[in-house]
Amino acid sequence: MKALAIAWRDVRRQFRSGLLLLMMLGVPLLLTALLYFAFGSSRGGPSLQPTALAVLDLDRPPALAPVAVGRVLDAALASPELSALLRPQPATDLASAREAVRSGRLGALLVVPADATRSLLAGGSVELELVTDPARPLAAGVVRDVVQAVADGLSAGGVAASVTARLAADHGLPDATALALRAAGTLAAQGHDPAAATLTVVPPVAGGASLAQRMAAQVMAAMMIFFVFFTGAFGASAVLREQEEGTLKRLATTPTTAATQLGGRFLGIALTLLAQIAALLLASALAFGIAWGRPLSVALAAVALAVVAAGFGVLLLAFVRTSRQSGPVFGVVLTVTGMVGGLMSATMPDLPPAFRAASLFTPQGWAMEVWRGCMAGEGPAALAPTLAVTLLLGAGLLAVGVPLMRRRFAQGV
Amino acid sequence: MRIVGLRKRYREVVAVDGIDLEVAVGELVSLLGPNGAGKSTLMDLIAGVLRADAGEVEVMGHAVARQPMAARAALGVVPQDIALYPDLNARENLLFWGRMYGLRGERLERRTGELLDLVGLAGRQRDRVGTYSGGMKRRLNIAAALLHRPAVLMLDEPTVGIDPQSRRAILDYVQELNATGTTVLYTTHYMEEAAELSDRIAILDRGRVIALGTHRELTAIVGEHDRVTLELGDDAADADAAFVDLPGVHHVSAHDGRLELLASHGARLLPALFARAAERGIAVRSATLRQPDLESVFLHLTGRALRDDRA
Amino acid sequence: MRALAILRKDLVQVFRDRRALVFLLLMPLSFTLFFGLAFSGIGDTSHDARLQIGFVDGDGSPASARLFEELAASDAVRPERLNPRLADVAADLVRRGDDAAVVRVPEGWGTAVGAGAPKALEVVADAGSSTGLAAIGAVRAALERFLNAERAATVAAELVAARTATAPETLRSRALELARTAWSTPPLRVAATTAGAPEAGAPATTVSGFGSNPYDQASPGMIVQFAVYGLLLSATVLVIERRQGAHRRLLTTPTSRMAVVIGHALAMFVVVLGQILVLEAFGQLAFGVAYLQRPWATLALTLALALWSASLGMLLGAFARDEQQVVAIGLLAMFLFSGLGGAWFPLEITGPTFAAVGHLTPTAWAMDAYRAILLRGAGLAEVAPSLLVLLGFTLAFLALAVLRLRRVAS
Repeated sequence: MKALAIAWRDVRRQFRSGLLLLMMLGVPLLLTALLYFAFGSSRGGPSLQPTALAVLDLDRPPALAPVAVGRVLDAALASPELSALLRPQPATDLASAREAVRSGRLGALLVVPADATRSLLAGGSVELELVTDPARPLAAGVVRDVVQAVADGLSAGGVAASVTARLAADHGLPDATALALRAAGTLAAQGHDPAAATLTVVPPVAGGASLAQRMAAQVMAAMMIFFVFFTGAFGASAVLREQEEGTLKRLATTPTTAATQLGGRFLGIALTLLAQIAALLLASALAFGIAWGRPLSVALAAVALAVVAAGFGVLLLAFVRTSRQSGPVFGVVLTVTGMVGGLMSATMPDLPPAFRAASLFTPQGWAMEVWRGCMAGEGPAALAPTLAVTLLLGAGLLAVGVPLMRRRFAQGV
Repeated sequence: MRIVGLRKRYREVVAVDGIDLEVAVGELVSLLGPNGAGKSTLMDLIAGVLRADAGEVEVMGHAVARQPMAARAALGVVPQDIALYPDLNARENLLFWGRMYGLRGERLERRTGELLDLVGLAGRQRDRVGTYSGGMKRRLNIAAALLHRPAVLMLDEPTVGIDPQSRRAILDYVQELNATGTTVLYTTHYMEEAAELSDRIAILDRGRVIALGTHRELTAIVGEHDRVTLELGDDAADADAAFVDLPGVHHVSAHDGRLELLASHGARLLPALFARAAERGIAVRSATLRQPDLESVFLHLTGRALRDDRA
Repeated sequence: MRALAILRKDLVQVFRDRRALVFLLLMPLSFTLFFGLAFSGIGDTSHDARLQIGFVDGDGSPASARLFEELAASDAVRPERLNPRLADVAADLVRRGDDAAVVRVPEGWGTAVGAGAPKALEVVADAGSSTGLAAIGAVRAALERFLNAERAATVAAELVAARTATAPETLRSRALELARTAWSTPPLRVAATTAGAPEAGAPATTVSGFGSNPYDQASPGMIVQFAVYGLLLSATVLVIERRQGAHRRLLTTPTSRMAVVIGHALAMFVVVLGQILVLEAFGQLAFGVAYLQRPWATLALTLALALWSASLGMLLGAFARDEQQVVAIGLLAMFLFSGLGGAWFPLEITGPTFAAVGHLTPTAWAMDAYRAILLRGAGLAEVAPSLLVLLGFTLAFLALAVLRLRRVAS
């Protein structure tokens, strides 16, 4: 089979180049590993060191006050449950503490105002000022949530008291204030009971993967698509290299028909792409424990990816004159379309809807849709619509690109 | 091989302008001509790489236009470029090209081994072709066209730019192949090669065969004319007029400070030449006298030298 | 000055190729824009950026209705009631990304809450995705507020009921109303601000980890990334020169080795410096990234980054065997230095080990300095340590490149 010989030649040449091999397999795996280890130390959320929280307690409670807001807050923040998130420490001076937070020496500063207890006892409200490190917004968010929760816990007593007082007053009860104090006491006695807010989290798929695995899977799929498109483009441009080597013309002097040559060439590209995809799927499954989905869906997705990548490569060939140009041109075009196709932002949460819409104007975007469905465990039936669009897109690209290619390399393709 | 009325033009340029040529089985014919004479285009037309505008080519009874595959199967083409895969080794290259000629299995293996031996590359068959010297690549370039034992072998300038030893080796292969019955069409612009190898020589110029015959027949065209070359220096431009009327001078042409004359009896003419030069005040730096050769034939037919890049 | 002649020749070679502008400016700008827009998805208030979650009320009690209202008041999620029959396909909705989460209220949940022994609320969500995590957090916060109000109302209603003849249910519903009002202005409130520049007092943004202006990460990140990418062209010039023997020939002229190296390094420095300055100007003007709030610190960082980048270019030009290798190694360097060095995401959101490993790359120090200037308003003195580390890398890279060029030439 001459077509097979041609295909085998192309596969061999592609895999013999250390550089191409690096692009095909090394870089995508490396990038995935990078992100895997960036987020790998955590299970269930980005891991953060406990934040150093300085508490500047300016509160001057009146003598004999039953409660002091500053001290209560201190105690609540120092509770062992929060030790993984916060490292509270006292602060003495507002200006220097602020500067310490600004320069990053402290994670956050909580200021309890001077009249805190007084105004609380007077039935008013207290505003606690939380100053966070501008360069660590994530830690800032966590600290804010934790402090808010602690404040809410303390507020609960006050809310109970005010509600009781109003209710008692509405019913003409004489000892409203005493009742209010009792209500606050009861709630304080109940304490902040985390078990009360019971939530059962049900994963949408059986067998929950870790966050790192989820991210690795998204990144791996994106990187695989990104670099498979490169392979497709370089595979198609092999014909340029052959033209420059003179082997293309020599092939035209042998008794090999154009159809055989074309068939062999596409078989070669397809085999190369499928080998690359298979290697990446296998390596990432072993290294990162990525579950790619049902075998049949994965096989179909691989074929769709190979077809659309080959089609795009053949089309891009029309814009390249020499094999030396191919690197920069493919680099720019595939990077930009890959970016629009959402390959660079695969793990970003909550992208504006326009991004997803824009991604569907690129072949990479459709390939990513297919693999997303695949990783979500969809069967071939559920996957069929995106799969069909991707395959049609690939076929369309080939239908445009192949005649261009044949006309240009009329001596033989 | 039969070529009838073959014509091919690229836009404004007529590359092949009505060529008729017949090559008998077992014959070795050289195509001799300067760069741009249409030799490579003719080869491409014969191999069916290019489609002719008019005319017909038949190889071993197969019309190239109608049965291209059968014609190509009978042909072995050695391109002028090193058309090999630099990142595959010699063996892989030969196996691939053998498959393209329809060989397979044990026969392919055997032929590959034989040819690696023939071109002396068996010892380095596992090395990538990119690492080879120019001569080694040339030899392998030829081997790749021989795998299927072609009835007709076409070589396009196979000795360009290589060392004398490799050149000798290549000329020997070609003669050997021809001796065992392979028909050979050999393109060159080295007249010595054409003279040494060929049964017949076709001289090409501007897309036409301007002369065809054995070495002896061709040189006879010039008759007993010798070729005299005078190196004159700067004032050569108008000097041709000074010698044209000398008795025995048949043709004079001037270029690059040189004067080329065809004369019946060169040796006898020389004193008269020098006398005329002295008479007209033309300084002669050197004079060369040559017996009739292909160069003279070309000069005679076209009024131009065969090669400008004379070594 | 022979070095200047070499510099000029290199610059001509780089810019003769008009693609240079694509590499140097268009690509980093489009990436900046893209990442900036992508990061801004969360902080953006112009459209309802709240995560959509489904709400399946299997209980149909007043309590579950109140929970729904509590969820609707959240600034992180936007609940939508789903037909209870859809409870079984909740997983599909989440998996397909139609909903960030689906809350399922089990039958009898309200009664249990009223009895002070709440039943578990079910949330179908992917705890492995940040979207899922954000939705779960928002549901938990709403649930806590809801339960706090319930408890306050229960306590108040019980205390008052003991002294009046009013029906307990009436009391309780009135108490709930009061509790909800009270929670709208709780006794203790937290006002969060960030310390330092640009506008101290801007609200701290959460979740994304990218700060209030997403371009504060995207713009310097892409500057750092493309400072590596942009020098591919200059490095290619050097490699071609070496391959064609021009380098060796240059050494046969009365030009010192030092002048040759300085000339090439200067060319790379000038190219990258120009690139960074243009990108910074663009960041300042188009994306509101405050490079100019600390002009001297920014300038010093720009010079240090360009110097380091030039040294990397020299290293690449000295070691790569051909243009293809330049592109491959350069791309690899770009990916590694950008990924590890925090050009794509702040190292803050990675684990401590990763952040430590990241700081083995020079790019991490450059990013630290950029973030310090932009977010903390740090001055020259404050970023000096980062810049010194960057210069250290520069010297090490240059030394390696010079050694290599020396060996290649001899």
